[in-house]
Amino acid sequence: MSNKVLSCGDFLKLLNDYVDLNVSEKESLLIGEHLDACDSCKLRVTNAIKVKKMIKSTYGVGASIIDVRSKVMSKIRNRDNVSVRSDKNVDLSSKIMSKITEKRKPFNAVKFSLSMMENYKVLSIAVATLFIITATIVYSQAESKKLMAARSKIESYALEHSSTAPTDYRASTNSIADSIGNGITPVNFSE
Amino acid sequence: MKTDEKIIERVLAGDISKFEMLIEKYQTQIFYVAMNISRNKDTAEDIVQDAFIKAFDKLQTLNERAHFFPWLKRITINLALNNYDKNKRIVDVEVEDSEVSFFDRLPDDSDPESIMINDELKRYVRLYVDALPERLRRVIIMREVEDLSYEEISEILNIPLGTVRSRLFNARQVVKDRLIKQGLTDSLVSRTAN
Ligand SMILES: [Zn+2]
Repeated sequence: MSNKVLSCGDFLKLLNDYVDLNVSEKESLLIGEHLDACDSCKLRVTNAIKVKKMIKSTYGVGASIIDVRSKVMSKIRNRDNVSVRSDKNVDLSSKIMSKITEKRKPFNAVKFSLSMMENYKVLSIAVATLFIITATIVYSQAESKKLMAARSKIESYALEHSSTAPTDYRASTNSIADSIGNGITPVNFSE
Repeated sequence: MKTDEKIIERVLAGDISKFEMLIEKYQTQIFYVAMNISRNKDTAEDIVQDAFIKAFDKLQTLNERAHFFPWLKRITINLALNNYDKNKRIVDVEVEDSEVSFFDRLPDDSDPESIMINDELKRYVRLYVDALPERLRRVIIMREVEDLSYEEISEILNIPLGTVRSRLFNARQVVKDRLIKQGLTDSLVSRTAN
């Protein structure tokens, strides 16, 4: 490469090295000069880097989809080789370690109280449910008693006033019924 | 978190269970390295296992313990390449023509770092890269995805440096041309250097 200004052809020969950061300091200076003056080559660089990034991102590491730990470890441990004896020692120690930690677990106070709370939770849910059901039954019975009372009041009112035959009795019974509760059809006394 | 050096030290001292930490740490990355060469999930998983076992066996030969990962990556690439040559399946990927101009959806930003690559674009990139002749595909994957230097690629594939350059040039050119055909407006970019 001469010391002179790069042509586009000269630059294109260096494009790959340039985007891979493989150019010398001297080349880098010449390239910089050329890119300052040449928009086409500047775009070529942008696109070359774009393509690089796209490939990297397409084939790059995503979510973990394999776990070979146990397979590899058991293969390493189960082979017949010189290091078997030391392997077994290590195996034993890890077994002892895991047994120690396992033993500790049942005496964990937090865990114990948590399990008690778990039992208590179930019990309290059952009690609450029973209470709600009972309350609902009692309430609805009281309600229907109220309704019955109201209905007989309407009936007696209507009977008392049927002789005078007010034109608006139907409307008045309706509004009374509405005020008591929905869905009560007033008895039609006109028949 | 323990450094690789410390973990390796423990493993070499006889506590082989510590090796599991290295597997956990690197298996995903190594899986992708294997997957990108073998192009088969099951094969890749086997390669990952073999790579870790080989690494375990050769752990004593690793001088720079801090460089465990690049070393493991090299082992994986070599295993994947050998495996590929053994099985030599011809994967015929058809390159479909689509009217969709996905290049238009790229933000027209001069800062390439800000490029957000959507799934559809990735599908096309994969299509075009996978459609490359295997000798070109390997080089571009090793360079762009595994970040290996020209020298490292030359060494692993046992080809001259000049061949790495020309293959990389051709691979990039083909992929770029395909992407341009899909909608990049500036045709200047598709012209070859020669
Ligand atoms: Zn130019």
